[in-house]
Amino acid sequence: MTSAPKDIREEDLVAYVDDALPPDRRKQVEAYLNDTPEAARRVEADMAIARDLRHAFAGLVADHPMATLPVAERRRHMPLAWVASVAMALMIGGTAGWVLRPDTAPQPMSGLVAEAFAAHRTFVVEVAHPVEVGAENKGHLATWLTNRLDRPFAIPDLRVVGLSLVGGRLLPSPTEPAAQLMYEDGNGQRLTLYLRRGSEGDPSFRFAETATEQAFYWSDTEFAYALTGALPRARLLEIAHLLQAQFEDPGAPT
Amino acid sequence: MKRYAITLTRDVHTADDLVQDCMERALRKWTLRRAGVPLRAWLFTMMRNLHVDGWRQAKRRQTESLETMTSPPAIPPTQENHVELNRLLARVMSLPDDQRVALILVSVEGFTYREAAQTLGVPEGTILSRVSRARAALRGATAETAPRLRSVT
Repeated sequence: MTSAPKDIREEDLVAYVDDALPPDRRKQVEAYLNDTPEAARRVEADMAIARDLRHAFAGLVADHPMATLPVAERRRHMPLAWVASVAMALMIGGTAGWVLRPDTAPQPMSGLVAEAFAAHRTFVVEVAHPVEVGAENKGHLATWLTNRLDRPFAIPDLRVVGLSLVGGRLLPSPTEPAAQLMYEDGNGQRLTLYLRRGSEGDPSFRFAETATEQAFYWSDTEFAYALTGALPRARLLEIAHLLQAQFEDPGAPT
Repeated sequence: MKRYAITLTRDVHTADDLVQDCMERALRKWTLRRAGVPLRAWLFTMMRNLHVDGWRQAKRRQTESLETMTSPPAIPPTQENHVELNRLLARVMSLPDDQRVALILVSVEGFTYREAAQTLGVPEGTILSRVSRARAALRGATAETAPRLRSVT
């Protein structure tokens, strides 16, 4: 390159690694790196470190799912009044304050939702084998789904809304393997989360219902999710928000 | 969230509790959330505040030494390159808090400098210089402990 890159500073080299430079400046830095092997080596080392860090943290999250000790043991100080305040938050939250306002108008059922409803109906009624891997083997379940879904997978924790994990299973879907996680409240009411690869990248919540169940579904850059249950819509939506917040988007820019 | 909790606490179990606390607080404060603040920045700010509060309390009480409760994050031997990656993790965890948190937000969580600045309540330039110092430290350490990491893609 002929354009003599001038005045390349520490900030430029740092921002280059993070791909945070405007295109013009980026070109200048690239020219500079071409002419300066020492700087190029440094940038390469920084990029390798960033890549390894992402890899290491993905490994941490996938292989250390939330500890599975019973609520009472881990959350000694959680007052009962708290449950009431959560209930309040659920009620109010259902009607106000959403940035991602759900579209609650009935929509034609997408493939994902049809699959999720079918899986839900099949397994929530099961007494003997509702799940393939139970909550007692949560770590194994997380590792297994990480491998089969090919994404870092930590089992979402919904204890804060009074739901405990029953377990999960792998399911066939028309495209790639799908997973179903099942949760249960104190009354034995069951909820399922169905997820698989393939998405429209639409993070807003959409609603679907049948005669007996409701579902909220959404997606991120790589995965689509459907939360199904026979619960009041506001509560179901609150749980969907909680799930969305806990799922790391596997395709988010890093 | 879990990744950020580990970054803050440097302890796997404390991180679990922190995520849990943060979810509880998030639910209570949900309605107070201002429109336009990205969800992740909001949650991360909240988590850091909770962490700082908890740390201050622990320091005031002086009941338990934080050191004795530490179960440092490590990835299991089933994972490829676990020795090298764990060495890297250990080095990151030994960075000063400011540098570590800025680096992880930017490098691992994919925050822009602006989002990271917003989340931590400091100017963008500060984020940049913290990331710069963190990288310099890691780079130096990596060079010392050759052989270098194999590239993991």
